Amino acid sequence: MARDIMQELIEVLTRDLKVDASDVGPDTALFEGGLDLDSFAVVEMVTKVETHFGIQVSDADFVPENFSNIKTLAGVVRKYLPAAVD
Amino acid sequence: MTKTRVILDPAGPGNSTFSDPGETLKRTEFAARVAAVAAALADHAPMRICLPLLSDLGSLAALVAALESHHSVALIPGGDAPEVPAFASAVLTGAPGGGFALQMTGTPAVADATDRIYLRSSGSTGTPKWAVHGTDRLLFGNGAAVIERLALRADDKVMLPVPVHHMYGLGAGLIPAMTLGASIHLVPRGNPLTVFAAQRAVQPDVMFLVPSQCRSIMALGRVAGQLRLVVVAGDKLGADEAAAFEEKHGLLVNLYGSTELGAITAGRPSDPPALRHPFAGPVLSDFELAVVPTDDPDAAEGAQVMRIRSEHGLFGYADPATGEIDRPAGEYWTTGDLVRAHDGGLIEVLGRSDFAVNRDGLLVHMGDIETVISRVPGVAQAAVVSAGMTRRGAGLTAFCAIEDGHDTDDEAVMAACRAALQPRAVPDRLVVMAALPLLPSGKFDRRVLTTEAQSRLDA
Repeated sequence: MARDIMQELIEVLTRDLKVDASDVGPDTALFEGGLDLDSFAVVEMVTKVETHFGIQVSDADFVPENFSNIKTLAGVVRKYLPAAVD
Repeated sequence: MTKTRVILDPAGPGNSTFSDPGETLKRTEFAARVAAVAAALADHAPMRICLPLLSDLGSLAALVAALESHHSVALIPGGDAPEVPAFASAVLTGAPGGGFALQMTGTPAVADATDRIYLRSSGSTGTPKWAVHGTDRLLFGNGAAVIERLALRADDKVMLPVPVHHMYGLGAGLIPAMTLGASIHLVPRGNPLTVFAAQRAVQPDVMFLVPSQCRSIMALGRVAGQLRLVVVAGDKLGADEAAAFEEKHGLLVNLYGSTELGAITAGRPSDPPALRHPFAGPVLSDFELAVVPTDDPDAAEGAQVMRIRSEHGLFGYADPATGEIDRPAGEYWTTGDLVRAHDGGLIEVLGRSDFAVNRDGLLVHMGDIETVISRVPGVAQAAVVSAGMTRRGAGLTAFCAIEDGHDTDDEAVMAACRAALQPRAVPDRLVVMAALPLLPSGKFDRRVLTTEAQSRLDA
């Protein structure tokens, strides 16, 4: 079964960061103008995402634009996953 | 009004740059931006100008132009709804890409409005106080002392991921770097990804941080580059934390200061770690320290109240309505902190003497939190103590007792805190008790409460 990366990311946010599921969708901004995650929550999110997917995002990809919303972040995660999981 | 003060020396290091996450300018390009703002200000006699500042070059150009033109400036955080003080005659807002806006407020200009810097003091709630500084004192007095102590260099690249409307970012970081002719890189505080990406791109030599940022950076586990100097101020970074941070990121010194006095102490980069990490360094050269015993029976052994004198400190506090000084500064200033002075003049900052702690680099007065909790219907008693450390800074545990038969609960109390307080002032945890322990005097037994809070952390 194809892996739903976006859905898994939403689950990480709701389970590990205690974000309300009704507050987050594919286009919800994770920073200003959306969930407004503070600096500690940002660190928490990044480490939980990397742990959950077993990936290590490169320093070059470690930029706010790649973490701006679930859809964008899913694209980054797919890049680091082994081929043909999604 | 002819500009006579030079902050941005056109003859300074030619290869220095100025940047924010959106753009990078050479020195000559940034000087041109400043000149454009200064030209607009030239039609006005010196006045009190409010500058809402963001961490961008538009704000920086506006600030430099206003100071070089001898206007007085009142610095506030930029954003959608800036809280312009009533005493400001104008608001000057820089914009990305070189734009700016100068709007008159309708408040009449006063006769002598030259060369003052108004800084708003932080608090958990309530109306702010305005500390009034002399521009030359901050720029060329305290600023020079910072440069000397931190051994800053004109060819340094200085990164400031801290707000520049506060004394730390302004007085310890921006002003010394600016007057020295160093490269300056502004980064909005808040998103560790932004700071990481900026550090990686710029590869600064010097960074000014607050402890919560150090903790976030350590938690990220990544190294964006090696720094010649990391300056940390705002609240106490543990010596172990400082050592761990230094090992990965670069030599670290602590700095201690206040809105009223600027940078007061700073570690010497040439000192060994054992002298740098546990202490905030000796007082800067423009200060004279006097410490007096504290009469607080619960104070740590050897703790003394810090009293300090500087020729470069504030003139006093201003009436927020008129901008006139209504509380002049005395000869000595009490910072409100308890300290221990060690051999060699090294200052160990022990904590507040006035029931306040540092969180996110800013003060939180526990009395303000107690007031908010006490006002929740059904709350009979409320006390807040500090125990442990969090990534924000000192940990805060609130205790309250609820009247019998009242349906207020801990969720309601915490909701009230979140509604009334700045996020940094919201307690980390709330404990509801049948009754709070009291001393014979009727005051809360804070020692018992602190022990209780610590035991809950340890459990």
